[in-house]
Order: sequence, then structure tokens, then C-alpha cells
Amino acid sequence: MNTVQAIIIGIHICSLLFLAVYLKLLFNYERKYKMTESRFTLLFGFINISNIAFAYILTIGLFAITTIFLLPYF
Amino acid sequence: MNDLSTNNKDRHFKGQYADEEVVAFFRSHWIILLPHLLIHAFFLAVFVAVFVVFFPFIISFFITPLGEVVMVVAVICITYFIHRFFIRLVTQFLHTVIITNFRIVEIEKFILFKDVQLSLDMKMIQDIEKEQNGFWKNILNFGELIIMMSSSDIRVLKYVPNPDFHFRLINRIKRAYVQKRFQDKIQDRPQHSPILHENLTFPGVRISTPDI
Repeated sequence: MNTVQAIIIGIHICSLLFLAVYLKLLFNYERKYKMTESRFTLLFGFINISNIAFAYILTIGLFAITTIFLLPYF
Repeated sequence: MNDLSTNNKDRHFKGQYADEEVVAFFRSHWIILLPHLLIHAFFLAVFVAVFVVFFPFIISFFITPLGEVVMVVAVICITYFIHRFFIRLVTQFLHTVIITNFRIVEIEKFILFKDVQLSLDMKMIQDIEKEQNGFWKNILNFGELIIMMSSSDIRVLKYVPNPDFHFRLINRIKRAYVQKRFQDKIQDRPQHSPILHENLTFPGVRISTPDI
């Protein structure tokens, strides 16, 4: 593993740690102060916070995996 | 309706009173996200286009020392933009305006970055004005609620979805609140015993009621 690969893996570890901490705090807050949602309060009438969290995890995860797996080809 | 056994303390938001009921809540209209979504979509499209069109050149460029630095910077930038994009979406969810039977509470919670709570008491609200000026505001049904406080202070709730409904709701709650306060005041007023002639006695004088 060269320096560039190490740096990029380090960046992704920081990114994933941030994601984990952020989502943990977010769901703690959501669980503590739960509101009754309806189609009038959801984003575009159907997107709730869990959908956004799922998309967040998916995007960060996919980006990390793609970059790390593509690294040996550069 | 609340009965005496219900305790709503800190149930839906921090600082909620035990006898406070959440009547409705809303978030900013999605139009507030539109510039943000468009900017990110534009950058994503440019990035993909550049990557696809210049793929052979990029591969050979990333092998050079300068290319390696560019690659690290690109990874940092993309990671930052992905986090920024999703945090902005989550922020949209956590910025809520809660209408209770006592007050209007605006909460701006950004988890790690910001925690602001603004409370407008129903008794302090003097007047409410609804503004929905412009083509897009009427088509997409959003607007502003301008709340005049008794301290001549003005609070503006921007990007309110369905402003007509929330305007009427706040007015109705305020009227109910004022009526309840008025009834409570009447009940709390000390009860005076009726003045009877028999009770009126002065030293040395006896007031007798005339026989009818």
C-alpha cells in the first residue's frame, strides 16, 4: 500500500466515523422527541428521515468501496 | 384532550410543559431545498461527464505525482459534498415549527452544529398576518406568517407550507386560549358574600329591615 492509498483509506475511515456518530445522535434525538408524521409533514409527501439516513449510508458506503477498490488500478 | 393523568413533559420537544398539547407541526416547504438539489445535481453531472469523456486521460494523469495529489483532493471534496448534501436534507427535517395549545415553538436542531429554540406565547401574540405573494408561492402553496407580538416585536415564519391552514389554526388556538384564560380569571376571582341589611351593624346603631 502506497501513501496515497493510505491517505484515501484514512479519509474514508474518518468519513464513516462521522457518519456513524451523526446518525447515532440523530436517531437518539428522533427517538427521544418523536412526532406523529403524516403526508403533510414528510418531504415531498413520502420521504421520511429513515429513507434519508439509508440513502446517506448507501452513498457514503458505495463511494468508499468504489474508491478503495479502484485504487489498485491507478 | 388532556386529562390530569397525562404528563406531556418533554414528550415531543425539549421544554414541553406537562399540560401542553401539540396541535400541529410543520417543516419548511420543500422549495427551500430546490437550489441545494439543483447545485448538487449540476456538480454530479459535470463530474460524471468529465470522468466519462476524459477517462483514458484521467487514468494516465492519476499515475503522475500531481495526479495523486489531485486524486486525494478530489476524494476529500466529494466526501465533503456528500456529507454536506445529506446533512442539509436532515436539517430540513429537524427544523420544525410546533403549534401547541399554549405557544408556537420553532426548533432549529442541526445535531452537531446548532440548537436554537424560539417560543412565542399565545398570550403575547397580538395579530397574525398571512402573506402569499407571487406566482410560485400560490402555485406551490407556501408563504409567510407574520406574527405581531404585544411588545411591538414582529416574528416572521418563512416558507410555511399550506399557510392558509396554519393561519386559521393559530387564530383558532389563540381564541380558545384567550377564552380559557378569561374563564380561569372569573373562577379565580374571590367570591363576595351578598350585602344584607342584617349584617350592617355600626357601633350603637342597629339597622333594621323594614317589614314588607
